[in-house]
Amino acid sequence: MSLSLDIVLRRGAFELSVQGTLPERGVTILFGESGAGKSSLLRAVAGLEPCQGRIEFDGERWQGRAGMLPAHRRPVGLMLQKPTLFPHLDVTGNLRYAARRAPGSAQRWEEVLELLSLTPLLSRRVRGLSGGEASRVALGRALLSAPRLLLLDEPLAALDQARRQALMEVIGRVAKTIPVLYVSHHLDEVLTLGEHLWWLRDGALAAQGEVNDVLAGPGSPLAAHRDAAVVLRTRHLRYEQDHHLLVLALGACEVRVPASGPGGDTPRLRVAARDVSLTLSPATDSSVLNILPAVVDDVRSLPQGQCLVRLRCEQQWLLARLSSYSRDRLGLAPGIRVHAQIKAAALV
Amino acid sequence: MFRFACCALLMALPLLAWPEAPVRVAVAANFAGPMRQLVADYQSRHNGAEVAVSVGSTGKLYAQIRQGAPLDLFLAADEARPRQLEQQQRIVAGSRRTYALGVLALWSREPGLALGAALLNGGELTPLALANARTAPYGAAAEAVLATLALPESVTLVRGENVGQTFQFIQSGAARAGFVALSQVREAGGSLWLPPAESYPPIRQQAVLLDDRPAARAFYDFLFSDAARQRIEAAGYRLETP
Amino acid sequence: MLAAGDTLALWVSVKLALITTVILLLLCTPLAWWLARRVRPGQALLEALLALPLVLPPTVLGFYLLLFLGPDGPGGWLGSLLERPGLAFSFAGLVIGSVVYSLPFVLQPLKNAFAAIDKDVLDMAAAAGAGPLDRFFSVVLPLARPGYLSAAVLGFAHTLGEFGVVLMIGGSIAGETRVASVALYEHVEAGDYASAQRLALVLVVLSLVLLWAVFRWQKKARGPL
Repeated sequence: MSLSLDIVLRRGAFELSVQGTLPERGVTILFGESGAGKSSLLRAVAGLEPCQGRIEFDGERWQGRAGMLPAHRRPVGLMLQKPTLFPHLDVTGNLRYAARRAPGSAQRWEEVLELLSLTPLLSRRVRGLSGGEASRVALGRALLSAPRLLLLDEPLAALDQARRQALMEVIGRVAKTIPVLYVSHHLDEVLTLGEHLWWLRDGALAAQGEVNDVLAGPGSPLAAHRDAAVVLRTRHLRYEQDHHLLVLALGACEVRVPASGPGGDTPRLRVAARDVSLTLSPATDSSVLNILPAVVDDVRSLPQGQCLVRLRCEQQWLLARLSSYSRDRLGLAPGIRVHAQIKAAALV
Repeated sequence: MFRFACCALLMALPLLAWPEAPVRVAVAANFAGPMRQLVADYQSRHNGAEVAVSVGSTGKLYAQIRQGAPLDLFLAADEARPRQLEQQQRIVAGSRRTYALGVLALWSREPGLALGAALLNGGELTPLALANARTAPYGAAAEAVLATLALPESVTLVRGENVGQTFQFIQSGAARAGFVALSQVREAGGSLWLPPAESYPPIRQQAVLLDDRPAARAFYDFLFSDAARQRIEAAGYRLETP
Repeated sequence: MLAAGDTLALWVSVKLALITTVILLLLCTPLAWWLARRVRPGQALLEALLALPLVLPPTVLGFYLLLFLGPDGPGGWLGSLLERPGLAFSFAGLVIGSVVYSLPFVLQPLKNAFAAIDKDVLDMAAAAGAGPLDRFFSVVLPLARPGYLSAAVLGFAHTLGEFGVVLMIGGSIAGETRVASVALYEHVEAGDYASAQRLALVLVVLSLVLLWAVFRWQKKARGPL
């Protein structure tokens, strides 16, 4: 546990009351509708928004009865939705601004420049940068402030898909060493980056925990969403060159995913609820690549004759979206053993 | 306050029927107070005749007249400017006359001071205010009085652009004493000393008629009537013996 | 070419304008910052008070300053520190008067410049580890530079051209309180139009050269932004 907070934020009639903890490292997505107060919460953690209550980080008291630690004394790196670079400085100036004020940032200079391919931009003026370039500089600046906690407020909102992918990778890498609190309302980012999820709704954290536990849990923010999905943690087994298939281990089961080459050691697999169908007996004559044994944990009705089935499969959650007709025909109820046919799964 | 009074006066005038355009009089600031009374006197005698008064420094009014300001009568604080206008043939011939002799006064708002040459020479009256000799005849008179004394170096002389401003310097307490016109401080309290009239050149305040129309001429003549002269004398001026 | 004493009056004017501008920039920086960043109770009243010099006729303002600076006002106490009866008729008094008189002309551009600074930029600076003073010097000052330039030019020019207030509290002491505008006025009042025109010409040329230089510099300075 790195960050722990128990705060109340008031903005006129709006009140936000949040109790939460962040893990030691990894990306925690702060998820919620627009206007749910995500940005305010992030700013409160950074010390930029006054709030009441308690904020602790690594045993240090950032906010409490004794008052609040001012923003510039908190070891956070901050990046906002718009890059917000210093307009009077060039790219080097912007990066130096953070580096000069951070102890021991000198040795990170080269590393950050390389990580974000910033070297060619160094002498550029801020006004001439494209959206993607500006975002890279802003992230570089946040990293050069030697943060022990990275706070990102929809940092990729202005970027196209290719650049998002590249920056998400960088953020994922950073998150291996420090905790990252990442504001988003994009499912895509949740599934790609999120290891943990804080789900903000109606002025409070409706759920927090490992991303799958929240996504598949009761009252999941995504249950009724047409893109409801989970992320499965797998292990790399081998790559089958002939079929362009990556073979992964999910507990005792094997999962095959089309891939152009061998991936990392612990690939994450995104499985949408609408891509999962259920059978009572294992089909041996199906073209579906992956058929996994699972146990029905919960069945929830959705509008328009749909239902969402939560399954336990090799200690992980899986969601299946079916018609209520199928549910009745198969007699699906908690405890029933089924076979989940996964029609499509994507590496994230 | 005075402007307000003028405005009120001007606004009241149209209520009374008068066939002719108002007499337009430009008057030097130090004579503004007596002028107000003279106009009131004149109006009570002449059934509310219209007289429009504008007040300013003699230098400014002179410049305005040279630039063709539409005025009937000019009451200056000195004789130099009326004489220049006469030389430029901008006045009704023979109309340049002294309407009042200014009386210089040394004034302090502190009561009970034995103002006079001794106190001045003692260097106690500092800062000492006077009008600028270049721009105000009372300033030149004050300088003449000072020339007859032996004012110590330690006295700071501060100069107002005109006697009106000089009066404010003293009245505000910023200056301890100063030379102003008697007409300003006759009823102001404090301490007063009138330097002997021989110690400074006479301050001849002269009037000139700029337009010889009957209404203007009537008011001009009134200025030199006995009734008017009594008023002027009562206001703290002396009169030239004819 | 200039009448005797006019060069001295010009020098007093320039010195007064310079000192006033420097004091006003220092004074208005925290004030403008305080006023620009958020709305506080009583702020409208304070701003109205500070804008009064724009509305009051200079001679009226000058009269109240005369009372203020005289021996019966706070100026008397201040003057007693300098062993003199009040601050009226002194250069220090002129500086105080000019500061009051020209304040809105310096305050307003600074306030506008500060208000135009994006709060997010300041937040980013704080997150990057810059404390309040550090943020002010490293972000606010550079971003408000055009505002400072306007404020300095307006403050200087307005003080240089100041007349009514100086007339009321100065007392026209050569080398101390007789500034160029008052000297010019005296020439006009005395009917010495030739001297007046020469002094006016010098004032106009001086102001023009100054403003021209400043605007040129401003254009250049804005370049890299």
